[in-house]
Amino acid sequence: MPRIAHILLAILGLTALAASWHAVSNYVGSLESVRSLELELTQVRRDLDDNARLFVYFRIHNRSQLPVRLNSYFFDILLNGERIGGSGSTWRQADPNIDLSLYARASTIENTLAPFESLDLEFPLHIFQLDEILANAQGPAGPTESLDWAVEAGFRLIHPHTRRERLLRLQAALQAAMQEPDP
Amino acid sequence: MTHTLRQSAAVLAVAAVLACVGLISLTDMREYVPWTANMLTLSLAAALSSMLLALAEPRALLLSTIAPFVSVPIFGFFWALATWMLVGPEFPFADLMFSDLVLLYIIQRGFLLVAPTFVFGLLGVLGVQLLLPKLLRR
Repeated sequence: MPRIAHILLAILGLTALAASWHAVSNYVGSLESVRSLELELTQVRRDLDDNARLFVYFRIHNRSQLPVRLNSYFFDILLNGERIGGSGSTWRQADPNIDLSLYARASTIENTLAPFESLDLEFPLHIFQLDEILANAQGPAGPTESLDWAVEAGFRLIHPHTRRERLLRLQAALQAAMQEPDP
Repeated sequence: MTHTLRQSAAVLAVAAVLACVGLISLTDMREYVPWTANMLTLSLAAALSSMLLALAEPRALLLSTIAPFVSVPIFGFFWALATWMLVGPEFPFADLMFSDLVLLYIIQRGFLLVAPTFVFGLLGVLGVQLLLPKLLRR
């Protein structure tokens, strides 16, 4: 009897160890894939036609070994540490001509990033009195002066196993002079 | 020596069952496992594995008390190993093993969730030790 009980215990134990390892590695893997996302602010550029419009360019890197499903994102942009606008406020100005679906389109990603893949994103912002803000930030050196840009973004991800939505907050900074408008 | 090894193997086996059913099934991980996970499953698993332990070993009462404590480091070791394998060897394994995430998560939740297994484990052992001689005598 003790021998049979020992054998049964050994089988149960080994099965339980294998099942634990499978579940833990699955779970840790999904957490790490979310934690290994990196945001890079690549460029901030003005629009030639509309002097209140600013284009913000991001790059998001998946540094993990698992695919990450991105749903949408929102962000605030900061110039020299002060918030000058963001994706949420851009389209809510009382301008009836602005197409609200543009916001939805600009902030929706709906893309799965493969391991070690990057994705470039572009967002057009409308910033009230942009000329004035930039002139104040640039100081006496004018457009050649380097500016401290920063973004604080929130990415909505679809968690790999549970299919639940998850919000991940990422930050990125860029120190550069104001880019010339696109010709 | 052989006796100690046999006892350790039996404790490890019960601890593995408790780690699997208790720690995984009753934490956030329950969505990552294919089996139904609730307190009843945990209690049943604890009672059944302790009954087997009582059949296999004469000092089952002591061994079944140790098993829940052993299940916690097993789980922590797996967690650290999985993290280490994923983020790569740039982090020393010992740092991960003793990181806040592993230590706090495992200790907080681990011992809380393993606690009920004490009761059912002891019930299983006592049940077998008290009832089996009577049944065999008949």
